[in-house]
Amino acid sequence: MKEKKKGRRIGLLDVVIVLLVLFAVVGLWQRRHLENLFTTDEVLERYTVTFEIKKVRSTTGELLKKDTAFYVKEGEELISLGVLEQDVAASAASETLRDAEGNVVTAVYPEDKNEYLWDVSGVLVCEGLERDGAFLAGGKTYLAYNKTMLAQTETADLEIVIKGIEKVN
Amino acid sequence: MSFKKSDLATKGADAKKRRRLFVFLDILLLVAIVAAVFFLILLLTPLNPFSGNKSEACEITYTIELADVDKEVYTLLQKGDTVTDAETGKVIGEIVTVDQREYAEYVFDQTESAREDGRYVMVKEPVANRYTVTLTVRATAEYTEGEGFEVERCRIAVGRAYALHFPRYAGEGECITLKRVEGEVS
Repeated sequence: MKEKKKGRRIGLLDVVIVLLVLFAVVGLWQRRHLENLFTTDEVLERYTVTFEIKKVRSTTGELLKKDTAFYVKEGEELISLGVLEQDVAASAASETLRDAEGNVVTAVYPEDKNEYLWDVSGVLVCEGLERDGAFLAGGKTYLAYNKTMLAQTETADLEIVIKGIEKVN
Repeated sequence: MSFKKSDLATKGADAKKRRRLFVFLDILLLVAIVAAVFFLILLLTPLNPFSGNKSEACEITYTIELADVDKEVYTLLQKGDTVTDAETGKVIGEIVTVDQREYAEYVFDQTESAREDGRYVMVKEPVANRYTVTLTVRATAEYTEGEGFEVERCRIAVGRAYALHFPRYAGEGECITLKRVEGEVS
């Protein structure tokens, strides 16, 4: 007698497993193309970001040498703000005040054996992009003129004020 | 109608073969799923064991400045005291040295004597009965390239403010220097 060939039965578990594999493959593909999917034509380009730090200790300012990497922490993620193009420029910290006659004058902080306060400025070379006219360092962190933010290097935490953003041609 | 014994045996062997094939395919699929999930975790999360950010243990010393404190503070802090980060409750070092000086504040002095090169110079004036205490703290830290130093997951960095607990004193201070014991951190 000719035996009826039994068809291979596909169980629910098999379907679930196949779907999981498909999702995993799609997930992998999506990850690779995520930036392109959501940021059409947005490619990171080189920018220079000028910043200032007011009244920082000289011992901290001395840590800010050429190629020092700056980061900003967003949640648990460290986002690169770039590296110093050269050593920061430093001068005695100054303050704008009014004298007894009401004139606007500048006063500088003196050097002292325990502390010497500096105003420093520096230039970071970083990668970023512009979206709707706003600059995003690393495509993630919003930077703009006059923005004050907490940045960090390996050894220091610094409050920097953004003073300029320029695209490198 | 009846089957011969040999027919039954052949059928049984076929069924066994088929079952083995299913098991093999299932295992293959499971391996593929595990691999896909593993790669997804690597790609989508910061938990990447292959990333270059390796950390290493090292000895550090750092200086904490406690500014504008009472005279008693100096006597309440001693070499060997533990330094605890109030936020996490973790010990982040041990005091090596304690120093004290008068606390001084910058004031805007408008007299001509306070002028240099046409600019005013701020003057530091001591504040009566107020002191600045500096502590050198030693600790074993975890150094991660690009990130810096952590003691018990507490970041140690120059310019960072800390709420600290000592055995006989609690207060706030700022880290003003940080050195790796082998040499200065650069």
